[in-house]
Amino acid sequence: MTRGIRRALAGLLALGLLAGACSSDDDDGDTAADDEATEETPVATGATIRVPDDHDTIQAAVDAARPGDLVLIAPGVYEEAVDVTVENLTIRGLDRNEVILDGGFELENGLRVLADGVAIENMTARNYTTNGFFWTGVTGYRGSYLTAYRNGDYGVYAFDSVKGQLEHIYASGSPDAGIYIGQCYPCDAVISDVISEYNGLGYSGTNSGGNLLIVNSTFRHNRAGIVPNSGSYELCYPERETTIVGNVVYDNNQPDTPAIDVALLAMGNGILVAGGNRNVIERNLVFDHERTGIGLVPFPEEEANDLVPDPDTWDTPCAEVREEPLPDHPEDALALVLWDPQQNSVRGNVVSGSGVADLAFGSLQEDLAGLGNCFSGNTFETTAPNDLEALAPCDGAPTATDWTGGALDLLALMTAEQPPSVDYREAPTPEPLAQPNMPDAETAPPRPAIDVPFAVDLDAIAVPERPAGT
Amino acid sequence: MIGAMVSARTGVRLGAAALAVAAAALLGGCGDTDDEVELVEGVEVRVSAIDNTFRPERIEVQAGTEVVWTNDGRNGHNVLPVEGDDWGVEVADFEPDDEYRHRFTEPGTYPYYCSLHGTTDKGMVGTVVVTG
Repeated sequence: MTRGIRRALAGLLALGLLAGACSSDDDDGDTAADDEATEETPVATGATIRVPDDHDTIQAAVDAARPGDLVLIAPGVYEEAVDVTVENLTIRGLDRNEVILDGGFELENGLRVLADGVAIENMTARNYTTNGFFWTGVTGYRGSYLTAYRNGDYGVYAFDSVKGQLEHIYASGSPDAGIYIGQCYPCDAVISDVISEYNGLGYSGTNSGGNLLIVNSTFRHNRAGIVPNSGSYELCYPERETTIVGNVVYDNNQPDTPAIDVALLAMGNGILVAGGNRNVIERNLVFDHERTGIGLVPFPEEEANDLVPDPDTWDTPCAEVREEPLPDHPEDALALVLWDPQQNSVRGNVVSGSGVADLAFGSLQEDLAGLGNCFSGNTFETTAPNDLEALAPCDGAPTATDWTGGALDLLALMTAEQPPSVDYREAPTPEPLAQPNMPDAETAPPRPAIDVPFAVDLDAIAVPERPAGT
Repeated sequence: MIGAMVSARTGVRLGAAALAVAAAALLGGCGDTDDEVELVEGVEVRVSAIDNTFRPERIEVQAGTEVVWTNDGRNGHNVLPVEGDDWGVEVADFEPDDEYRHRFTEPGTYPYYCSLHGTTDKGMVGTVVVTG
């Protein structure tokens, strides 16, 4: 099939999606980059550019592409660090397990996207010094059917980006997090159907939230499972309004993973809200953790850049605060800032097998009730402090008042020694099993990330069944 | 040439930056000529490199000002000029809590970026505007 015919077919397939763009598909057989149309308004062509048939490298292909195009990659090992600066591309591997970007422990990012609306599908990135797949500063992103393992910072990383979908992802062997969404509010993003294991953190989200959903996913064998967190080392603090529903979270006590300091601090916990706020944690199955199943704790930030902002300001969009200068606070006030968890709701989860407590909430301040967190309708055996659902119900008045009995010993937990981090290059991260491919990778039309996030029916999500063999 | 660098966080942050900018503004009218730039002495302006943003992204300083970048984030960053290589700091020397200093003596606009978290014009970028 000639490139011209392929481009025409791809254009037809994409027509439904991109019809509004009034495509003027060039039919001269050249790739879009040959047209030098950079001064014109980009036109979605829906052309297919093949690697290595049309271009030897993925970088050359994405550079040659025009908005709306599909970059289709044949099986092979690609030793590249690819930067994507063309909007609305779909970059797809023909086989998720055989299209492999390999950083060789020297290259920084597998695919780094700095353009809006780019979707990456059906491939693997491994052995990068920082990230496997990385979107930064974009509106519209999607990662589907991706495998990221043994990368030096994050597996899949969406930073300062909004309107996103991360789905059908396998991420392992990163010291920070397998999957991360940070510095966005409102994020307008969905994480669904992912497996994250053998990382420092299964999921980390610093200063993110606002229509941010983590659903129907599995977090296991990490140091800690799902860890929304706050800190002034990134903008848009604090973390708030993440919805965590219908996930299976178990055995996050793994002692031999790579791990940053936060992962060491958080080790042995399933869902740990570290200074996060207004999060909704419902109908998750959480079991077998050395510390807590679901814990709400403060995040201690040493030598912070700023103080905790007033809750009245938390609904300020990220875009409105990014240009503000850092305030000038006394050095001693910034020496240690405690980001307390506030106004979180923990309902209807099934939690068991926790070494310290199935449900836990602690702070270094005395007025725990004043932080507004609540627990109701969960299935559990132990809490810290005792009678947590009676102390802090989500509905109605408290029926208990003693916050001291069985209180969480935060100082002991924070200062306990943990197994040290293992270099991500040398950690015993298992080679991933073959992961499911996306349907119809060869023939599916390009689908840039202009229609994300996909709708989620939260009410339809039930507590997951316990996985076989666990 | 990579400028002086120390590994100590001072805690003097953008308040000092604001004062420095104000000082630069006050000094701006002193002795400017087409051929000769009078350099301010002892003026320091700070830029915080957090994850993954330079804050503030754009500063305007008087020639002679020393700009001090501090890595106040959790990750390594670098500071690379978009043009040339006569200043800047690589990631190995700009880990969390590290500082990098460079004194700008020639008026002009100096865009820079962190190559780990941006490109020359997108992502983690910043600009120093030096006035004569």
